Amino acid sequence: MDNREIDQLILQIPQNDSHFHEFYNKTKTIVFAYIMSIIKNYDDSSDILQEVYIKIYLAAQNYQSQKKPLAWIFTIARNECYFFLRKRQLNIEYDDQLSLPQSMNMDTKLILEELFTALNDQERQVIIMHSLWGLKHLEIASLLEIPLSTSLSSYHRGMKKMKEVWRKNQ
Amino acid sequence: MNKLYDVFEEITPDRFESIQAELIDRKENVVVETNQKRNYKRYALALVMIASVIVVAVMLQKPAKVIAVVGIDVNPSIELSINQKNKIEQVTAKNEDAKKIIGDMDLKGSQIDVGINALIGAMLKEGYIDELKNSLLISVTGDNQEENEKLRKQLSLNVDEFLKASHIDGSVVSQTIDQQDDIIKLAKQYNISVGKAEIIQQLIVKNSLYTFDGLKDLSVNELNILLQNNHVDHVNVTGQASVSDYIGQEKAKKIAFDDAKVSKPTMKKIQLDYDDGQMIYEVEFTQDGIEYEYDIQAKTGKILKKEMEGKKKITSSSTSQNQTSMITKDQAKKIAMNHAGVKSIQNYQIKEDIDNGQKEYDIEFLSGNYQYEYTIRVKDGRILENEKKNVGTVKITAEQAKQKALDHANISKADAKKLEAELEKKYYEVSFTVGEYEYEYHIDALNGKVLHHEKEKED
Repeated sequence: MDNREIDQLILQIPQNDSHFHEFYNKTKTIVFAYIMSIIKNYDDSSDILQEVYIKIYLAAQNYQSQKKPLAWIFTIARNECYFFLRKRQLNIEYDDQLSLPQSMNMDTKLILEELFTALNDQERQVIIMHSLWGLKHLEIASLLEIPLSTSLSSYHRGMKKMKEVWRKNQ
Repeated sequence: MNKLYDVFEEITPDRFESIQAELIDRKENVVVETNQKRNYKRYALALVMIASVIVVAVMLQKPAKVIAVVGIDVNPSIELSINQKNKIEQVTAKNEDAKKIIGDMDLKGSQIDVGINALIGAMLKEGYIDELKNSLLISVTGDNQEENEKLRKQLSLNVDEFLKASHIDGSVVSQTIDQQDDIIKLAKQYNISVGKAEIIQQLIVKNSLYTFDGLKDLSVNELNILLQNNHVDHVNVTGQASVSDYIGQEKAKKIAFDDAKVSKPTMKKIQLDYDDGQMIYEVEFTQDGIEYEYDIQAKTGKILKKEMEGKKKITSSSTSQNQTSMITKDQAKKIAMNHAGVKSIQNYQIKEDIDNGQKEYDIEFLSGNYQYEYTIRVKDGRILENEKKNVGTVKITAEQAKQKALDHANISKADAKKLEAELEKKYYEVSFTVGEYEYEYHIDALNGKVLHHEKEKED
């Protein structure tokens, strides 16, 4: 992710909707990956994705650049996820089972299933934030409020497991 | 890792049209506060009273009459059961301080606001509310949420005015509580008031690092600081929590800057937080491309933890590694030990790893009460990341911890695969697999006791 570009796009959202669309296209995959990593349910994650972008659009009116647009986006996404989980917990015991979309490529399905079964929540989150969001471990540690060493070790442990999976599949 | 991106790209749904449709109906004003944006200076002089109003709909001895319970927490913890006319039916002291405050006051039959004013007046007089511990919490629990909310608003306003009239610049935290059964159970289990239990619950939801055990002994004032820092929006807060008991941000900054020997750092973050049983200042800043992170004990200014990270240059080509000079494992160990300034070490571990296309050594060792972790670039021996953390007294080595776990599981070392031991705070996390089973142990670093163990079938 190019921090400067994303920062500029957010600043321009209030002026023109085409910037919002561009911003959406550039970021939706990493945002969805993060939501999915916490929620694990495809349909719920899709709904949350929608809500996150609504919040981003509305919050962009008050956006002040701190040169850390990803941390800003992350905060919105995390708050929505937690809000959803809290709401669910009030009603029923939340079903933590992985649910994926009906149709997709077999390879994709295998990788996703491994990502969600072989890794624990923290390993998965750290990998997505480091590999997809391009965040540094120091930033990840601060965002997830975990020690730097935990972010590093979760990443390495998780990657080791994923590499094994990929090797096996080939 | 483009592969992972492709995987998610394939499944990410396109909701842009529904987002646009939804936006037409929505005109909220959303403000996002990330860590970097917060301004903590405003806490400096504030004198805080946290008042939380808890109306608990518990069935007490007189279920017909009591419609709600109002809880007050400063340190004295008092619950007032009230009837439909907002008159006090019953006063319950929840701790020793509360008994002292209530004394021989007879509040039964008084209006709730009159009763609360009388109690707060007594707390002021007895010195339960002062510059250091000036927090008051009022909570309302009852069956009718609408009524609860009305009562909460009215009481928090009353208390706020009462404090102002007493020349106290306070902070009143107020809340209504539903989900009563769980919270009441938790409150009983930890022997704290329902209002405090609810606040702690809210904090844990917001911050996964917090635990009930860790927070249960915090004062209402400390909880209020955490509420504000963690942006818990379920409660209502007026005013600011007192930080007069702490060294202050300026001093915390100076301690960190002096220790790091920096002259003109760029501040990234300074925040009061709670970690491992105490209030700390988290101080983060950068200078000359190096990121520093300090944890400083808020009451004393003692440095509890420091970290440094050098700016990483990501090299796009990963093939050049073999041609340039490389440092050996022994050299890397020396670099780390010299940097740490230690002569004798224990539990030394070194692993090779590849990150951002470059080879690195991950080094860990123990010296004194501290666990050190280094990431050193193989190419030129540059320290990319380092961390030092206090792990308490460690008398058991990693090997001993592994053996303890194996003995307990009755497994021979030859049979255990992927055997690993990692030193966490005060214990080792030991893990291994045997056949299709995964084992995880926590071994006390001081005496080698098995603190926790589990065995799980691998899928």
